[in-house]
Amino acid sequence: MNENVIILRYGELYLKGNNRSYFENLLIKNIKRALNSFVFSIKKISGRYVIYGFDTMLFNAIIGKLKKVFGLVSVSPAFEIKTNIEEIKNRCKTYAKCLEGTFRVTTKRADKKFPIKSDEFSAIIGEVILNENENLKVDLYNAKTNITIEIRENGCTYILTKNIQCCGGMPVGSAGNGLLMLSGGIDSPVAGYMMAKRGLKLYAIHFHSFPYTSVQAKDKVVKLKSILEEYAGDIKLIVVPFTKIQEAIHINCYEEYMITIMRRMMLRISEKIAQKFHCTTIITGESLGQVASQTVESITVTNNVVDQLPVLRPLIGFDKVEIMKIADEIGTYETSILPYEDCCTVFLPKNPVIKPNVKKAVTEEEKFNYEYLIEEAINNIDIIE
Amino acid sequence: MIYFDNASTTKICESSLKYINEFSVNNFYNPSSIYKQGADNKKEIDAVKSIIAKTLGVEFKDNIIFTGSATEANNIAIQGSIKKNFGKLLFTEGEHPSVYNTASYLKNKGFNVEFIKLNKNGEADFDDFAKQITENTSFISVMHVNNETGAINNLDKFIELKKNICPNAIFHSDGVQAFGKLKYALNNDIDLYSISAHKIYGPKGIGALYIKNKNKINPIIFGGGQEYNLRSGTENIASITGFKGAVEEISYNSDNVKAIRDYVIKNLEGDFKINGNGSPYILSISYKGINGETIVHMLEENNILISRGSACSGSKVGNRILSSMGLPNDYVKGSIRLSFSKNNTIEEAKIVTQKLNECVSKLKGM
Repeated sequence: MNENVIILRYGELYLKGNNRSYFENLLIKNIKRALNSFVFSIKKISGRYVIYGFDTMLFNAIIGKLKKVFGLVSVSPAFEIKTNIEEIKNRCKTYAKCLEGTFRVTTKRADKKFPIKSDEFSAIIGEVILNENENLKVDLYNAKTNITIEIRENGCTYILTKNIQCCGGMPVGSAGNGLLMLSGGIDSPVAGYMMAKRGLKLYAIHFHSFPYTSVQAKDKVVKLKSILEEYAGDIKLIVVPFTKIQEAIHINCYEEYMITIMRRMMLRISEKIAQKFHCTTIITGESLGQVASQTVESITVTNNVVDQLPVLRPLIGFDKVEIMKIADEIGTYETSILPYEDCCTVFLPKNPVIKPNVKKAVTEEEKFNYEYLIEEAINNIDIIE
Repeated sequence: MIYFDNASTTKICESSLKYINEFSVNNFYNPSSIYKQGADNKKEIDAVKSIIAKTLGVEFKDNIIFTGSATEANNIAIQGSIKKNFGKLLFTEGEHPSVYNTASYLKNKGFNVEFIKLNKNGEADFDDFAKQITENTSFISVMHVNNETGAINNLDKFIELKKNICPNAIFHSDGVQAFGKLKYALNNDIDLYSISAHKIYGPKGIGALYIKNKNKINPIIFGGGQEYNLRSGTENIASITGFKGAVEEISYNSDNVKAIRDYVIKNLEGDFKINGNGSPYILSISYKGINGETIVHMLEENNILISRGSACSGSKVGNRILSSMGLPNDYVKGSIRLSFSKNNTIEEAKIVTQKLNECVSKLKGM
């Protein structure tokens, strides 16, 4: 027996005062986009949305999509029926047959014209259910099934028994655009997920070093993008041809500084690409101390090349295992650990510098015409929608 | 485009396609159905088995089953043979993952599984085999031709020793890279031999297992009892006849691929080693200090398809087979495999060799 509507709840949007309608409109847009492969309708009832008119066969698939829409706190499958005492009783009778163990009934009466008081009505319905299924027991404190009857002012009553947690957060797009540096590893997809959750619409940038890295390495990033899109909506992926820059670094620069210089080149390109696509921030998956290029000194030297935009590092204080746990939960882990070489592991120096300094990095970079190579790379980007 | 990755898979031949079409569209009937059309297809399957048996140099006595792949054939051969009271099981370190990983699985389950070392030519080391084989040995699996190096194991020699020491042990060989390429009549003491269609211009998704004595083997999947109850599932009549098309075209004339292989070896430049020297269809090369995967992609840019020699990229994962042969680590990572077919030409070999030399020279300077 499938419920015929889904009630959607959103929480944090309430905090936004005068901007509330802006956030709500974005949320509705994101919900519609998440469900664009389904036929359904949506309506608003006092601080909630209700989805109806869908094929109940697709119930679980729809719930699965909704759980990934940032801004939604929880969803509940429900029966929507006309407010009519007999009809409510009949529906609960049918429902009683599917129940087992203990239950409780809670009535919420927004429609004060409804003739029976909430507690009284709960008791009546409880009795109806018990009469229908003698194996059930009432437990007001620790019931297996909590049946909520919401009698609304619009003439509808909702009967619901489940509350499914969603991701929370803010509607994607409410915080503007951010450019995610997406490597293909475990961390960067998680960083993107976290910032999308706070409302950033994501663009992603990936550095591709064919033939040193494979088509599979790029395909892996495209796959990660598509997993992130389940949460963050459409993501434009900008693939930057990075081979010539890497070769130039390898040939010209002091080996210990190769990674530092490479990161500086990536950030320079990222800032230019971010501005080109109207992104107001760059997002990286850096976590303090995880590798040589993620010490405070290394981050200082790499961050030094970004002039205009803030670089957000949502994972900076996370342990690897914590990041892996989130990656697993959001479904990127399995793809991230596929063993394709990425640009960060090509020409890996034996002893990368742990405490680089800006002066030395600048000296190394002066050994080749990186500005020309950066411009050439940007002119040859590949955009994957 | 030049395709030098034929040990991976080959382009299907016309006659296979013709049979597949015929038995998909016109004679699509279930071979287990009791009406005439079904019975006819059952007979057709037996006819294909007879042809395969003949190619293996054995008489067809309901001793061949079709499988969904050679991987499946190897799994049935090993897992289907296993008995609780089994003594030692011997495998070589050169086995294909479908054998090697099955052996590792059994080892983890508590079976007494041991691996025979490889010599520097990539063959299973006969001295090590002689050292490890005991009266208590119950199962032996020695691949015929190695898929990465082309090294050929002299099965008759291994069987001879087995007959003296543990005559009742079951002897299996993975014959995927040998069948249709290396002329060999199955030794009468081979119990199980696995083959595949798509390595010899047949369709993918069809393999076969020769089983000398069906009483010694149990099914590993259960169902409608097809293939003498050893491989349930509706018989894939289209692919089985597609297999026939490929077998009918076997010629054993390897002069062309030999010439290609010799040309490449003679004209290669750089610091390299050739791994193994057996099958003319396979050439495994290891370059010192450069990455095999990068070579593969550089050639790909030049419309040349080859495969890397190591199982996985990056510094973390090496190559079991080449390492087992004693190849130093700085060569293992720089390994590639060229594998040839009857469709390749010397002109192609010239282009590939030239491009390969150019790539290696560029990477050497990196």
